[in-house]
Amino acid sequence: MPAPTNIDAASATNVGTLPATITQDVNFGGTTYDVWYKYTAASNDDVVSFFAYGNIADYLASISIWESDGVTNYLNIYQQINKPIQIPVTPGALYYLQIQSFYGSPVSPAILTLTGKQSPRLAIPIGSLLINDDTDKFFAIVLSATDGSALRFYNLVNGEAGDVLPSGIFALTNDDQGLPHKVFIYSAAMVLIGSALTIGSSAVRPSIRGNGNDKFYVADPVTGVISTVSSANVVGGTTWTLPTIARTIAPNRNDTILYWSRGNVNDPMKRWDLVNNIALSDLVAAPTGYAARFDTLVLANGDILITWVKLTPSAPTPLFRQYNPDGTLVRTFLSTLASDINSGDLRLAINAEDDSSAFWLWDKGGIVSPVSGYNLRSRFIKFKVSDGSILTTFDEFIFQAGLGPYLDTGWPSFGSSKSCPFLVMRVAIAGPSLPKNADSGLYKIVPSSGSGSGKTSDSLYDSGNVAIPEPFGTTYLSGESSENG
Amino acid sequence: MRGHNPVIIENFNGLWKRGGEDSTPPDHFVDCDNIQFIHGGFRSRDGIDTFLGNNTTINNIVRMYTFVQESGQSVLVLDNNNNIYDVQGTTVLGPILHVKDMTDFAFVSMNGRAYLSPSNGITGLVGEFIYVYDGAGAAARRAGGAAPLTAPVVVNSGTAGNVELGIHVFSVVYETNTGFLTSIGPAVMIDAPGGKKVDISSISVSGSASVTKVHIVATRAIDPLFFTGDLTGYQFYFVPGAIVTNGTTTLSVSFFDSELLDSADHLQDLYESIPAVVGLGNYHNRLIGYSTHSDISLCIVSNPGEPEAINQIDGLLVFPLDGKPITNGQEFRDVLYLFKQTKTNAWTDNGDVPSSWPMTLLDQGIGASLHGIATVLDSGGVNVDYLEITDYSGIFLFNGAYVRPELSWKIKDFWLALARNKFNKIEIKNDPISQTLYLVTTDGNMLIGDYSNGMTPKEIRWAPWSFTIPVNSIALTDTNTLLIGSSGIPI
Repeated sequence: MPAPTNIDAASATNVGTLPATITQDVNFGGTTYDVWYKYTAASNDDVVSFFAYGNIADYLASISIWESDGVTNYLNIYQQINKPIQIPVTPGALYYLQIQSFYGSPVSPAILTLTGKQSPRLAIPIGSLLINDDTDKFFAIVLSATDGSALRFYNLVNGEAGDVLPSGIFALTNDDQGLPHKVFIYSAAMVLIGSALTIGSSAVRPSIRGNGNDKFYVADPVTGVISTVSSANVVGGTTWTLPTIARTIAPNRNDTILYWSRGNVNDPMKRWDLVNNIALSDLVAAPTGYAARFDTLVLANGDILITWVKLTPSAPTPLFRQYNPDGTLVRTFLSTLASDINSGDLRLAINAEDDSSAFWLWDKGGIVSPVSGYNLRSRFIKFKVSDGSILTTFDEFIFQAGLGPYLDTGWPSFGSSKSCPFLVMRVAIAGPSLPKNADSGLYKIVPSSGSGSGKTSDSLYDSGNVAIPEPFGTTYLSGESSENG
Repeated sequence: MRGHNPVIIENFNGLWKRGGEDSTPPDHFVDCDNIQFIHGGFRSRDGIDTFLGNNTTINNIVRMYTFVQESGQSVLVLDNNNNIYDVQGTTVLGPILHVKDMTDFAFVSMNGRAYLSPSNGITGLVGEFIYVYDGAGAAARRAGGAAPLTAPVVVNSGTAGNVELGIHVFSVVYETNTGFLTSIGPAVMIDAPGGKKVDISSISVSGSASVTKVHIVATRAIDPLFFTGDLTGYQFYFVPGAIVTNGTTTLSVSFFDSELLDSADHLQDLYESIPAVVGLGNYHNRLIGYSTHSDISLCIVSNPGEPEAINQIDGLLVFPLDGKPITNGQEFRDVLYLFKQTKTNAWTDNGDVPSSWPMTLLDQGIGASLHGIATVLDSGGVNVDYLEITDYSGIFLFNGAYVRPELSWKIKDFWLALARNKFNKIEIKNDPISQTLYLVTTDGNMLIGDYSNGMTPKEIRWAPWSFTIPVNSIALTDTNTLLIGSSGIPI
């Protein structure tokens, strides 16, 4: 085996077309080499995955991604050991992959396996889970509501708040990106409609909640002002100023009451009269020691779902409760989360099919890596409202800022980030089209008119004029052979 | 040919494919392709041209139907990307519907709207539903609609009115933009003192954009001594004039019991979303749909004039079970005929609910394939005098009974050579102006039957047509312009 020749950006080996799996012995003459690869994003790329793997004992492959100049680090992907990474790419752009030995040189054996994949572009059924990314420049992912597998990525703004209307139109904030912070409205087809509302910049997350009909309510995280933005991205003329900022808000379906909480420990869930612009009595006091978290939902039947969390330092304890509009407790949804996965960063999402029958919960936390340290993992649970039973649940590893889990086997290629709005798709999106077949399409017979003859050839979309396939007749004459007529 | 005596064919009668070649009559051909019949002879068939010019939005066509609306007509086209488009003239709208794994679809036009059901060509798609399309290019939506989820709040008004003494139970019903009335929502009771109005508030608001109105329904006065407490156990009526637009949450009502005449009981047990079927049709102004994924011998039947109102209990017909799906359904001379591939049964509307309709076993040897009943011109309807039906054994005329010999008697061998497992691909159209039957055959070619000399097994003249492209579907539009949908040649 000769010495590796792909030892810098200039001599990098081309990965070629994805998917690709490349194996290379990076040892030669007692030296373990750093090796370089390059990848030119294909025209149909949006997010790609690379996984450089050696083994989990000696040759720990450490990957860094560089831009086309070979010296500018790309999206902070730097010396990541034995982790799959997912990165957004620009079609036609060149990227360099540097793979080093974590333990330096020499280690033996040092067999590198580099795997590259394009992200899936599958059809998105109604009910699929859209999770925005909370790291600037990374793409939102749509997960299957059946098993959590990745269906497709979309380039949306990066932020912590969002919601969707029954029409499929959804709103996101860009508070994980640069200033100013705004509310962005997207069509059901993931096309940006616009961003008419600017909100304050604060360490407090903004809060957005749809009214289950035609508009979004937005809480400014600095001023405490509540505004509305229509599905057409028109800011409403009426605003409401709450006594304090609101970390979580939810209007009822009649647009008469806004449920809101500042979200500090022991803060109640309050009510605001949206018609008369005055405070109402509290909906319900916080369970002792608990704070309302980011997502409050109002179901179509008027009931309110609140996520309370007890923020103890070691293990945040969640509490999901459903209340009647008069504040009566309807049900506490029992968490079946494993102790390793408890988290204070819980998110809720209205179910797509019937938003009074079920809702989704997304929790996440650390799980011990079989190799070293912890991995981040999501747990998605679809609860049945009427009895609190679990309809569907699955776990998925998190790709935070593009970095996947550290495992010894079964590495995923794609996943969601860890703290973002969580929407349920209301409108299906078709998968990539099958290619057009030659001459397929819609045709018409051109008949004769009057005594004239009709069209004497076939005109096709791609082939143009072609002769009518040999018109003929064959007759059988008794005592003779067949003959063309 | 020396010694050969010329045979003069006065009237050429097309293809003969029955028995040995030596049995072919002199005025028929044992083989012929791409000819069409003219007075006293035949010539090459007419050529085809692109229908959409340079517009190549629609490709890889799988199925199409002519959609007749009050304002004109269009063609609904399914491609192999599971998209349905609406082609209005040369303008392509949509896709108006995309359903994963939809490889075929059913269609019927009622009340100026298109009802569409995704299928796999055998049954309705699992987990899917019937959709309604308004014909204007907006995406089709699920037919039907969910009932209100919350009961209104009702209190006795201080204002004088006509609500009679006793217990009244109130609820609400949504009305959609297609006129569908949902099931009755949760109810609430009030003990009325008599002589007052009732003030209703917190009227349920639907988040669905298709819900346009909310109707108040109520019971007549119930004697408190006999009130059972079961709010669903009493007959509801539409309160006259008590209709608000969706989003309005308050209303005062006043009515005498004698004004409660329009019962709402028929709204109970309606499907909120109607399961997908393989075929749609209509009978006595009712929508019919047959072969759902889970009940292949089931035919669902709507209320008269309300194509989306299908009762889950008594709006059903069951074809005797034999493990094979219903393949077609057709009204003919006031009788509903349902077909499996080799069976035909009849149901007659007795004025009662569909589940009570009497069934008549008609033919246990002949049936109809999925698209195998000829529609006439661009109407989507059928002939008055007879149906033309494709069966495994041939093309039959049906006038309440199957006419033998079959219409395709002269080409029996041709017909029997068709792939039986692809009979759901066969389509048949009837153009009575040119007096021609057009069929798509299982091999992606066509067969025409010229009946200008008579619609009889002897006088009809058959000729196969072929193209350099496969034919998947045909439709007649602009009265009798034949459209051909092709999936093309894979590159």
